[in-house]
Amino acid sequence: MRATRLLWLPWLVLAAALSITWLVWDHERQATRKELRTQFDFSLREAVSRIEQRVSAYEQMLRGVQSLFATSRGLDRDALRGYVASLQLDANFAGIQGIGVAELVPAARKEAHLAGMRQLGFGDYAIEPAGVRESYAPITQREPYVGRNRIRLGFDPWTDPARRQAMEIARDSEMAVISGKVRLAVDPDTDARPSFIMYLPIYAQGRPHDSVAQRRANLVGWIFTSFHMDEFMASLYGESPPGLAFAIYDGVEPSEAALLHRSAATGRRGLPGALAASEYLVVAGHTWTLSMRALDDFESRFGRDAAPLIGVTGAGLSLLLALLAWLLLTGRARALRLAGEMTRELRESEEKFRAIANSTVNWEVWWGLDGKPRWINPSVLEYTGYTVEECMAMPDLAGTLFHSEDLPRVAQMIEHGLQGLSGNDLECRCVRKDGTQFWLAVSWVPIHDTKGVFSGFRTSGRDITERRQSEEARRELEARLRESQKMEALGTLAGGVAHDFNNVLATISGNAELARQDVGPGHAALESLEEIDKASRRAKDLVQQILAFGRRQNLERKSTSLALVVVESARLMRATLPANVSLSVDCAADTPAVLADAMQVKQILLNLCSNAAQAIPERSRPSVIEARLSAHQHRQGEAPAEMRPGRYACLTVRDHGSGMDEETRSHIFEPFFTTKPRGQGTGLGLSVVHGIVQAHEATIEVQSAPGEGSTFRIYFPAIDAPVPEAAAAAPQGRAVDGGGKQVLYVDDEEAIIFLMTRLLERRGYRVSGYTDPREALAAARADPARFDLVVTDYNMPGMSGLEVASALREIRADLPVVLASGYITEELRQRAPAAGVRELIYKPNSVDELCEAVARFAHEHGGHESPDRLARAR
Amino acid sequence: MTLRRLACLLFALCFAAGAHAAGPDCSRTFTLGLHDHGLLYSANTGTGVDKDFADELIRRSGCKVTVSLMPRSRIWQLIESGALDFSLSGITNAERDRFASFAWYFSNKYYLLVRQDAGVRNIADFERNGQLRLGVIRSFRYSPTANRFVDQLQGANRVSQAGGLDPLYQTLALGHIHGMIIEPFDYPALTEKNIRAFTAIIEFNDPAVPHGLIMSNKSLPAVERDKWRALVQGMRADGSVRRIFEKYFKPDLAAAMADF
Repeated sequence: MRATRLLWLPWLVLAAALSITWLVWDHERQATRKELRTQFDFSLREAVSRIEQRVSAYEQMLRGVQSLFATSRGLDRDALRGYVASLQLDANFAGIQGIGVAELVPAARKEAHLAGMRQLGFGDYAIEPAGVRESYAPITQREPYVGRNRIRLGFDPWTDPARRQAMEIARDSEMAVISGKVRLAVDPDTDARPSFIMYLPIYAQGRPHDSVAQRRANLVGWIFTSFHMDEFMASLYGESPPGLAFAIYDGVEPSEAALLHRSAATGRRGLPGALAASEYLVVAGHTWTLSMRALDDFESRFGRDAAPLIGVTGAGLSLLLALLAWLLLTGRARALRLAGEMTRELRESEEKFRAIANSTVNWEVWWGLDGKPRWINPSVLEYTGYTVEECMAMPDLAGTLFHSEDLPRVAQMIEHGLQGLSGNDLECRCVRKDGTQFWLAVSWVPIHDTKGVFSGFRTSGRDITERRQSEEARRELEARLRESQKMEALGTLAGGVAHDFNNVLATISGNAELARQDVGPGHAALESLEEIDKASRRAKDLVQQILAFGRRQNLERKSTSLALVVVESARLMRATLPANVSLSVDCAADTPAVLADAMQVKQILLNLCSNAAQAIPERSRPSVIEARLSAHQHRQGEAPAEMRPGRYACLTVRDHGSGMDEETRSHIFEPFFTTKPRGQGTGLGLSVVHGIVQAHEATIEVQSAPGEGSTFRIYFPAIDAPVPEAAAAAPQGRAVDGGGKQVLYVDDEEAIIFLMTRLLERRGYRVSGYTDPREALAAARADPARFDLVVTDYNMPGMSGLEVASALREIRADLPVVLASGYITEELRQRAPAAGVRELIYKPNSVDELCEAVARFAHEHGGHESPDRLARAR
Repeated sequence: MTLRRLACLLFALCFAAGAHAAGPDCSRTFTLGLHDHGLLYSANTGTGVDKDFADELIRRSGCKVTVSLMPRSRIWQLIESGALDFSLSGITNAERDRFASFAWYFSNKYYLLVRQDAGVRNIADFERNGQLRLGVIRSFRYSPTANRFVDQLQGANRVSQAGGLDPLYQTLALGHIHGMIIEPFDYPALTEKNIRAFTAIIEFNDPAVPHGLIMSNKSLPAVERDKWRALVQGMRADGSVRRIFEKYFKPDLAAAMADF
C-alpha cells in the first residue's frame, strides 16, 4: 500500500501541476485571445464609427444645401454656386467630386425645361439618355464647375437603377441616402473608380412633406454629392487601425463586383487564428459590408506572448515539483535502501575481509592507539600455540610472545606503528606456548577509519624460520667454502714448498748414504751421518704430510673395503696409544665399498686417533676412542648440507676428551694450527686429514664442545662394487745390478744429477747427467744408440720433460724414456704416452726408492738390448 | 372593467394636468435619435412606432426636438456623452444605468430567428454548432439569456455585427448568418421580406424586457428627466402608447407590448 502510494503520488502531483499549468496557460491563452478579440472589435467598431461619422458629416453638408434652398426661391443656381464656393472644398472634403442638383422634370415640363436651360447659356443642353419618360431628373447644376465637372449637364440619374433607388428612398424618407456602387458620369471611361452618390430631397418651398405622399407630390429635385470611394476613405478622420486589413463592399455580398475599397495591407498574410469579422454598416440608408481581418503584426502589437512562457515554465516547474515530491516521498525509502545496500556491501566486505584474514597464513594483529591488540586472526594458534582468546587475555602480548632478546626491537616497531609509520624490516624470534622458538618477519602499516583518522596499526607476521635456517646453512657453507679455498691455497703453497724440500732432502739423505758407504764401518763420522739420515727422514715425513695436506701425494684410489683398512690401522694404532686410552672398532657389515687409497685412509685414522689420544689427559680415567664404520644414506636438506644425496660409508672417530670450543673448531684444519704445547705437534695432523678427505671427494664433519669430547665423521661416497677381500701382500722388490747400462739423466737440479749419477754408477749403471735438457738432447742426437734409458725430470725451466721425450722420439723412436716427477697429475698421465714417455715414475722420496725404480724399469726394458749398444754405453 | 377604465382616465387626466403644469424645461432645442429598426422606425418610409411616439412626446412636451436617424451604437455613444438628449426603445443594463435614465413604455420578449436548414431546435443546438453564426445589431442588448447567448458566441467569434436590421435580413437570407435576435415588432418584416418561409423562431425563456425613452443623464438634470418620464407615463396612462402600437400591430400583440 505504502509502495503503491509512493508510486502514484508523484504522478498525481505531476498531473495536478500540469493541469494547473494547463489551466493557467489556457486562461492566459484565452485572455490573450480575448484581448486580441477586444482590440480587434474595438478597431472594427472604430472603423465603422469613422465611416459613419464621415458620412454623417457629408450629410450635414448636404443638409446645408437643403437649408439654403429652403430659404431661397427654388433651386437657386447662384445661391448653390456661392454656397459651394464658401464651403472651400479643400482636403477636408476629399472625396467629394462635386455638389449638384438633379431637378425633377415631369414629361409635361420637359420642353420648357430644355428651353430654360438653353436660355441659361447651356446651348447644347439635353437630357441624357434621351427618350420619353414620365419624368426626368436631369442634372442641371454641378459645382464647382471646374475640371471634370465641366462636362455637359443633362445626365438623368433617374435612369440608373442604383441612383434611382437612392433617390426614391431619399424622396420618401426625407433623409440623405447614398446610392450603391456607381461610376460617376464625370469620370472618363479610362478612370472609372468605385464611387457613390449621396442624395437629399428638395421639396417645394412651403409645401408639406410630412407623409410619403406629400413628399412625392411636392418634390422638386435632389441635391447630391458624388464621391470617389478611395478618396472618401482617405478623408476619414483618425488613424487607420494598424495590423489590420479591410475591404468595403456595397451591400452584404463581399464580391469583387461589389468591392468599393480595399486597404493597402489586404494582400498581406493574416493571422493563423483567422481573427476576422464583417460588419454591415447602414450608412445613409444604404448597407455596406466592412470586412476586416487581423494581420500577423496585429498580434505582435497587441497580443501578449506570455502563454508559451507560462506553458514551458509551468511544465518545467511541474516536472520539478513531481521530482521534488518523488524525492520527498522516496527519500526515506531510498535512504533505507542505500543504507541497506551499504550495510550489505559492508557486511560482504567484512565477510570477505574475515575470510581473507582468517584464511591468510600470516599472523595478523590490529593494535589500538593504546598499544594493545584489538583483533588477532586465528593463525596465531598455528604460529604460537595460543588461541586468539588467550592472546587477547594476555596483559602483555608482545612481552609474552616475543623473545626477550628481541623485545627492544619489537617495542621500537610498536612505537613506530603508534606514530603512524609503516615498515617491514623487523625479523625477530617468538616463543611458542611449548617454549620452542621461531623466527617471524613483521611488517606494520597504520590503520585509518572511514574518516581518515589514524586509529591504530596492523602488524602482519610471517614465519621465516626455514629461511633463517637456510640462511644460516648458507652462511656455514660460505664459511666452509672460504675455509676450503683457504686450505686449498695453503695446500698449494705447502705442496710447492714440500716438493722443493723433497729434492733438498733427497740430496742430503742420498749424500749421507753415499758418505756412510764411503767411510765404512767404525768410522767416527758414521754416527753423525746416522743423525743426518734420521733428521732427513723426519724431514721427509714432514714433507710427506705437507704433500698429503696439499694433496700433492699420488693417490691410487681403487675399490676398497674400509673395514679392512680400519681393522689393520687399529692394530697398528693400539700399540702407540697411552695406557689409559683404548680403541674400540665397530665396522658395520653393510658398509659399502668406496673408491679410496688405503694408505691415505690409514693416514686419516692415524692422525685422528693420535689427536684423540692427545685430547685425553694423561692422568684421567680410562677412556675409549671409538672408531666406527657404518653405512649412511644422505638425503636432501640433511646436514652436512654440502653433501649430495646418496649412499655413503661413514667413518666416525669419537673421543671423550676435552673437546673444543667454536673458535678452536673453526681453525683445526688450518696447517700448523695446534693446541698442543710447543714441540708436541706439527699442527699438520688434521690438515693432512682434510687434504686426504678432499682428495677422496669425501666430506668431514666435526661436532665438539668443551668437556664433551669430539666426534669426527668422514663420509666417503659409496660405489656400486662388491666389497673387495683382503689384498695379497705385495711382492718385495729385488736388488738389480745395473749391468753397465747407459742411463741419460736429465734434471735441472745439479745436486740431483750429482747424487743420482753416483748412486746409479755404484749400482752398475753408467750415467750421463745433464742439467740442461738441450745439452742432453744434443748428446742423444750425437749418438742415438748410446743410451739404454732416459730418465728426465718433468718440471724443468725452459723445457719440460714431455718436450724432452718428444724430441728424443724424433731422434730414436725406440729409446725408452721415463719421466720422473714429484707430483704426477692425471693430466700428466694422459699426455705422457703421446710424447713417447714409456713410464711415469714418482720421483722417489728416497734415493733407494729412485734407484729401485730405475733398476726395475731398466731391467724390464733393457733385456733386449744388443751387447754392442750396451758396450758402447759403457 | 368600466370602473377600472374610468379610474385610469381620471388618473391620466390628473397626471396630464400635473404634467402640463410642471412640463419639461423647453428653453433649448432637444435632440432625439431614431434608429432604423423595422416597425420601430423605417428610414425608407420615415414611419414607425418610435417616430409616432416621438411625435406625440414632442407634441406633449411643447419643446422643440430635432429628430435624426443614426445607428444605434452611435445613439448610445451620444447619449453617454450628452450630445444626444433622447432616444427611444431603449433597454437598460448596469452599464447604461450609469449614463442614462429610462421611461418605460413597452416591453417585449426576445426571440431567436434561425434558418430552418441550420438544424436548430433550441438555443443549445445553436450554441453547440460551431459553424453557425449569429447576426446582431451593434450595441443592442437583450434579455439576460439572450445576452449570455450573444456574449458566448461573441467570444467564439461567431457573431456578425450590423448597423441595422436590413443587412441582417439580407445576410440571413444569403446564409451568411444563420440566426438573429428579433422582437415581436419585427414579425411583419419577416412576412414582408419572405423570411418566414425559411426560418423558425425560438423563444428565450426570459420575462419580457421593458423598453423605454432613453434620457441622457449628462444632458438632462434628474428633475427634467422625471418630467419627461411623467410625460411617458401619461402617454401610457391615456392609451396613447397602446394606440400607437395598435397602428402597427395586431391588437393582441400591441396589448402584450404596451400593457406590462
